[in-house]
Amino acid sequence: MDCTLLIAVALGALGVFLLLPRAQASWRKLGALITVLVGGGGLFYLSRWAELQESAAPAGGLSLYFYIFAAIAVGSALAVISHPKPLYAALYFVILTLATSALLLTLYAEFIAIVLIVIYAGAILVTYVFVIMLASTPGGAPAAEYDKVSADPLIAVLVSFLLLATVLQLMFHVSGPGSPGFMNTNTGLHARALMAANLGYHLPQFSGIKTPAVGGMAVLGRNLYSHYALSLELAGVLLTVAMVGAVVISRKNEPPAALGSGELPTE
Amino acid sequence: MELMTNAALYQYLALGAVLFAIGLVGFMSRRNMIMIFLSTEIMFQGVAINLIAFARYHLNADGQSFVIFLLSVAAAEASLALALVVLLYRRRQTLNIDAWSEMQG
Amino acid sequence: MMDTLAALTIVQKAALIPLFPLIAAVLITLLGGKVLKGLSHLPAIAGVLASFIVAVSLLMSYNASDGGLSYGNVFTWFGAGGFHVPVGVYVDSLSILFVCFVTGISTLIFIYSGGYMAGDYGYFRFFAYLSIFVFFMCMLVLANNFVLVYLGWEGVGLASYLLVGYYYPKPSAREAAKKAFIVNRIGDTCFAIAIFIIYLTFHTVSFHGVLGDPHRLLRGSWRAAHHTAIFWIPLLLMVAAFAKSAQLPLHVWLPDAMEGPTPVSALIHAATMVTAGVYLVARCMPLFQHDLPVLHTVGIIGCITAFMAATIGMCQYDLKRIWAYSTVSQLGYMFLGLGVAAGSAAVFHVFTHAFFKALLFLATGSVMHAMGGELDIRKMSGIRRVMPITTVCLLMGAFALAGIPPWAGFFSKDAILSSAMNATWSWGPALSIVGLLTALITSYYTFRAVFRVFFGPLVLPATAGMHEPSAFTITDAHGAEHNGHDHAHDDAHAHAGKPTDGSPMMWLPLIILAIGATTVGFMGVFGGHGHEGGLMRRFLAGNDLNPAVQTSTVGIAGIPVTHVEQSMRVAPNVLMGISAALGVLGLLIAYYFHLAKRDAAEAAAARFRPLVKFLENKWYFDELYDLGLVQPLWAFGWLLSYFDRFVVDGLVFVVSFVPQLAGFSIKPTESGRLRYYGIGMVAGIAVVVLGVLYLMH
Repeated sequence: MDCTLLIAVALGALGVFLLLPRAQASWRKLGALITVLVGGGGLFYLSRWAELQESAAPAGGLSLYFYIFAAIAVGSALAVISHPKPLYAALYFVILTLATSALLLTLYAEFIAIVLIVIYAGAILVTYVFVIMLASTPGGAPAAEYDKVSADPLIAVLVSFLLLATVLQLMFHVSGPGSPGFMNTNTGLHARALMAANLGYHLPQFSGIKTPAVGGMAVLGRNLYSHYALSLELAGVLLTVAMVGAVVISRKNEPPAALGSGELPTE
Repeated sequence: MELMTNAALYQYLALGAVLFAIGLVGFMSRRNMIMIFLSTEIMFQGVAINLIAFARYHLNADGQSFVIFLLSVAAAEASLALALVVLLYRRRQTLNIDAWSEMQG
Repeated sequence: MMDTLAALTIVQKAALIPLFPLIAAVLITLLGGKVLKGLSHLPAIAGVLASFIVAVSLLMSYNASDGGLSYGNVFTWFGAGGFHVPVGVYVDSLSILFVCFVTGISTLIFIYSGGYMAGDYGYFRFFAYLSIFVFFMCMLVLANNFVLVYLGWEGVGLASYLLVGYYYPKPSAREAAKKAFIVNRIGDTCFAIAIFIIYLTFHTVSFHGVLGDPHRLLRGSWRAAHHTAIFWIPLLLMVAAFAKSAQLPLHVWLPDAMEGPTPVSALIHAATMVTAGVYLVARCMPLFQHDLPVLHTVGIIGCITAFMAATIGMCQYDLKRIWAYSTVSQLGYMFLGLGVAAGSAAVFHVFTHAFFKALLFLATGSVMHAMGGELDIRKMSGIRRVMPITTVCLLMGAFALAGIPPWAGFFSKDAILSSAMNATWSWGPALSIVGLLTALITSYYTFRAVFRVFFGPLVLPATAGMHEPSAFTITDAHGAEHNGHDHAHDDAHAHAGKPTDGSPMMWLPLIILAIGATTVGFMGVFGGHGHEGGLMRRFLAGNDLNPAVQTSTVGIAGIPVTHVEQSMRVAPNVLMGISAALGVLGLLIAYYFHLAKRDAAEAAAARFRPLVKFLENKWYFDELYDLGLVQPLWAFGWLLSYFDRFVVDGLVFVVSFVPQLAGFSIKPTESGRLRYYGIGMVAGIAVVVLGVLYLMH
């Protein structure tokens, strides 16, 4: 067990716990402080660790942009879940989306990055904002009680960070860099085939493997319309059904004459 | 295009896990129905980062294809969920999820 | 059409007979409710009339042919290994006679029903049931094997059940239908077991294979090898016949079955279905003939039933019930005839009885129709003044039932009594004397009812002139509406308020039946061409392979024909005289008590109060059943119920208590709050991953 990891996660949990909306606003500031410290420390540790790995086996692929946008993403995600006003939370979510799409760009997924912005920031978030405005108290009024005080923050944080600790532990110390025999190379089959091709070898075990360039729209499109053609059609059906369903659900029912109110009896 | 190293992959995976955990916290602790759904969107983002990182690592388009599906599911979920939120809000004039807890043992 | 018919073989013609009512039934079932409605009687009448025409043509061609037996298969119903059940016909004088009078009487009753049931709710249902009944009855009498007979047997039972319970909103009708069905079950079970034993013994179920070789049945070595079977087969068949034909002690269902519409009582519970038992015994006479204890049991029980039912008939007040008990009594006569091996006499009586009993019931139906459903003979009197046609017709039937010459019942009854009197069996004369006494009682109760209802000063019940209140009009709003609609089309109801003979559809069949009841008896006297016993006996004696004629070769007097001159205890003519005199005597007694001096009847009844009470309560048979069968079963049921409640339920409770407790303890986790479900899910995943981690180290 890596104590550093556990302590970092525990501290992060404490910070998030304090950060969540609660009656005493001062505790939230302390929580924000702890969280920033833990997050910054974590990222710094991560970069040091990565540099160590790189120096052991230099292969490239790390960049400053990752740390910047990772910090922005985590920070804005925390702001989303901890802000008492839904509208602000939604705007922080836009920031999160932008940071995420920047991270995707570092992964050479240009198309997905743009699509993420268009769909999330452009479509989904706008819908959220509409609903928030539709269902909220008029502007200027104080936030509702159920927004100002979160429910069972301790249990939520404990369970979530227990899962996070477990996953990180599994990643870094069981099968990942913390485990014995870890090599900082790309062990993926395609990657090895590409590497061999780049080096001029034509090894028989890679002979059947195509090594396309990643990220391009052409590659993605070919993949979607060949391997996942049926799934793609199903996704279209799903979207249509969801649209029809949303219209049906949110339609204001004219009360049928027999029932009077047109609504199910409530309590 | 150079290859992605294991260490770089693990960094992205760690970030995805952290975003997922943060979304989980929000999902479980917020009481506003809109915020709960917004929290699930954070979790979607964490998963999307993971998938793209794997696509980059393995140099194929499968991960990106999955993200396309993930986005369509997220869009469908958002439209239905928000329609439900509107419906529920009309019934009780509140967004508090605790107002809807009749299905108890 | 006749040319086409003439071109068919006997087997083809016979196979055609059940087809028409079946088609009619299907047609009415499919179209009756929506299309035919008030015209549902037309396909039914057409179907049964077509069957009757074919049956008559069969009769003609039968006489024209060499007078032999015809049988053949139409198709195989089912088969398994060596066991085959064909659908086929067995045409001899017995089945021709039955099929002719069944379809003929059915035609008349169908026409009558068209008028009688007009406007009743579920009109088409009634005719669908009737048609299906005629189909099954024709199957029963035409089948060429026991399994097919069983099909018809069950089918007529089903039709009877459906029609007795026709007015199902009435509790009494439901009870009566159930009673009829359950009592018949006893007989049906026995019949089924008998068929099993027949197959085990003869390795076939066809009539030809079982009955076709009477000499085998006589062979000593064969009899020794199958001595158990040849005792049990006739015994079980006897019980089956007794249940269907309402003989002691299984007669209790028939009087209650009068809850059905009156045409049903006339057709099924008087003229045709209840004689299926007689048909079965007559058909299987070769099996009975050599097993005398069983055959004698048939005769004795028939005789006792005849006497018992007649005495009960003396003290009933419901007109239909009187005829019901008289039916039981007349069926007793038929079994008495079979018991003394006088099959042809018994079948002759079935034939005449079908005419006069159908007539009596239909005429009673007209009375019921006119009197608004009232049938209590104490509440009406002298109605011949308002219903002249019905009165005359009913009188013809009454004369026939009472056995007054020259009406039909006299000749057939006399043939049975004379057979019994001159039987070689030493009990024969005793049974014959009881039969004669029964004839006196029969004449008395018949004319008691007739004089009470139709003669004397005119007294009408309060409900007279109203349409019989249908069970459906009371309970079913839709039915009431239906009734009102159909009334407009029925001129019989145009004179509501005044009791009449009803529409021509109702009194025309009565007249035809009255002519039949008056004349068919002569078939037992004339046309014999030298044979004693007339046309009927000659007809039934035409075929040596015919079981009914097996009995006939034994002779109408129960003695082998070759030995007719050997012993004659009482000459047939003398017995005829006695019988006729007793009939007239009964009429006179009834005239004295129930027309001339009605007060005297009450005085006499008061003097013999216990006896009258005993008879009014039908010999306490229902109470005996209640005490001997129903109550013990009830008590046993209670016992089982308590066992179930405390022991079985207790075990179940204990078993269910553990999961209940477990469920109760974790119930609070189902809080109905979304976040706790999320927490539970995530914690579960974390625990699983932790477990995997732990296992990997």
